[in-house]
This record gives sequence, structure tokens and C-alpha cells, in this order.
Amino acid sequence: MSIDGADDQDFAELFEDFFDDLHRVAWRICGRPEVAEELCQEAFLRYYERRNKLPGGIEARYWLIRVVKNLAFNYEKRQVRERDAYRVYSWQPRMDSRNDGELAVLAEDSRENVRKALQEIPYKLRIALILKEYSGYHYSDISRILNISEGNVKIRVFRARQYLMNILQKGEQHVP
Amino acid sequence: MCPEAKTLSAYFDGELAESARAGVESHLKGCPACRAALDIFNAQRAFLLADSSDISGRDDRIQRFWRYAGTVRLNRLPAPRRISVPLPLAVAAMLVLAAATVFNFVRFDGNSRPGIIVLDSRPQAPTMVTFTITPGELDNFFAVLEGGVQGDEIIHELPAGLPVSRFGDPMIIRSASEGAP
Repeated sequence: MSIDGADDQDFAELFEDFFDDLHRVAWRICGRPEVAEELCQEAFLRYYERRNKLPGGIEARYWLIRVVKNLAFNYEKRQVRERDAYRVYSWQPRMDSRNDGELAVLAEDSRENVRKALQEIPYKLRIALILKEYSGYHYSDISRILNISEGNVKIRVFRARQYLMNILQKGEQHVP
Repeated sequence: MCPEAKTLSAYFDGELAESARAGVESHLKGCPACRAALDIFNAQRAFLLADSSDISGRDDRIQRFWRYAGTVRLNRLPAPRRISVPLPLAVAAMLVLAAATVFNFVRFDGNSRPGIIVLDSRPQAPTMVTFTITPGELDNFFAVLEGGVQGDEIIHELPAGLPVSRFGDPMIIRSASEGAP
């Protein structure tokens, strides 16, 4: 992929190579897989529409993560507003068609526990932890994605772990 | 002395420089509390990664993306057209507009010298005239309008532009609403 831009073939390769990773990050940020997929599609669409002006390579991935992060943040704010307005907690876990029976129930429990725990971590800290744990980025990568210093990344990841520890202890979640 | 907790976290992430990492590893050998802290980090990672479900391997991702792109394109409102006017043309238009405005409001006297700016030289619009006829005076009012002559058709012309407001019988309007042009 050219550093100055991407043609359609480059875009298709970027999509195939990176969609799953981006989806994984988006899912953990917003907590809902179907919403995460739409956020990723929107991010890729924005990239596609500006592909001749945006950088390629690793910078394209950073750009996509930043867009997804902002979209997820806006989604979360909207959710909080709606929740405050209607006092309804409407999320319903969806069964994964690849599982069945007890396995599916356990998987749903696990997914729901992780989702709830992550959602309790403040947004700025959560993003850093998600990029570290689910995408395996180094602090230097995360600092470029979030436009903060590496020292700040180190602190945010650590503080997110502090939050997570307290959340898991408070909720008596099963920690393997 | 134990390293800071955030340093342990960075060590857990493999983010420490070689010398710092060696120092932490040396410390860990003799410190069960710091080893326990690392165990907590490990447990957290296991907890987070226990939810391993994702959409990896779904080979229709790109098709679903293009469907999404098509839907967005159809639903998106057309962007407002931006009219770009070259700067010289815009300046010329402003000058013409300013000249026309000055020409409209500045009166020139016989010596072709600019006069004072007159905002509005026309006579003032007539003031509102309101007259109220009580039902008992209605006959007298029509007698005045018709010159006291019964049976002849009298057309009474009111000044042009005289606003008339009516309180009472609509018959008055029949007589008063027609002003002379």
C-alpha cells in the first residue's frame, strides 16, 4: 500500500487484514458486537471515501482505530442519555449460533461479565487497556493512536487494571 | 524496595527496558507480594480473554460492508453546493452594490454637489383614524355620509390609504372600506 494513498485493491487488502482486529477493539469499547460491526463499517466507509488523501500502512490502522474510538464514545454518550431518559436497560444478550446448550450459556455469561466489567472502567482508561489486551499494541503504538505520551499510556493501563481489580472483587466475578 | 505498581504493570506488558526488567525480575524472586500482584494481572488477562467470541472467519464481511456503504450512500443527503465566487468578482459586486445604495439615498442639488443623505423624502403616511359609531348613532352617521338626502345614491370617497378600523356593524365597512385610488 502506498504511503500517500490507497487504491481499491489496497483498500480491500486493508479491510480483510484489519477488520477483525478493529471489530475486536470496537466490541470491547461499546460492549455490543452488532453495534461494533456497524462502527467498523462506518470507519472503513469514511476511510474509503478519503482513501486518496489518507495515509496507508500502519498509519491507516491507527486512523481507523481513532475513528472507531470516537464513534464508540459518541455511541456510549447517546446510550447514557437514552438510559437516563427512559430508565430502561435494554441490552439483551444474543446467542452465538456456533454454540449450543450449556456451552452457549457459559459463553454468554462470560461475555456479559466481561462487558459489564469493561463498561465500568472510565472511558479513557478502558481504551488504553483494550488496545493493550485485545490488540496487543505496544505502549508506543497506543500513544500514537491516542495522541498521548507513552508515560501516559503506562499510567492509564495501570489505572484501568486497578479499576478492573476493584470491579471484579466488588462483583465477585469468577476470575480464572 | 518494591517497584511501583505501575512499573509492575509495565513489566507485565513487557514494556520495560532491559535493565529495568532485570531489576524487577531480581526483585520478584524474593517478594511474594509483587508476585501476587502479577498473578492478579494474569488473572485479569485471562478473564478478559475468556470472552473469545468474535466474528473472525466470517467471509461475507466485505459484502456486508458494501451493502452498508450502499445504504449509507442512498440515505445520505446531498451535500450543499458550495458556490465559489472569484475574489475580484465579489469585490466588484460589493462596489456596485455600495454605489447603487449611495446613489439611491444621496440627493444632488443644482450645482451637482452632493447633498445630505435623505432617508425618506416622502410625506408621512396618514395616521390611523379611528372612529367609533354606537348603534344609536348609526343612522346619523349614514345621514352625514349621504348628505342628509334620503333615497339618492351617494358615493363617499375616503382618502387613499386611510386605514379604517371598525368596531361594530359591518355595514360601516361597506361604506368606508372603499378609498379613492
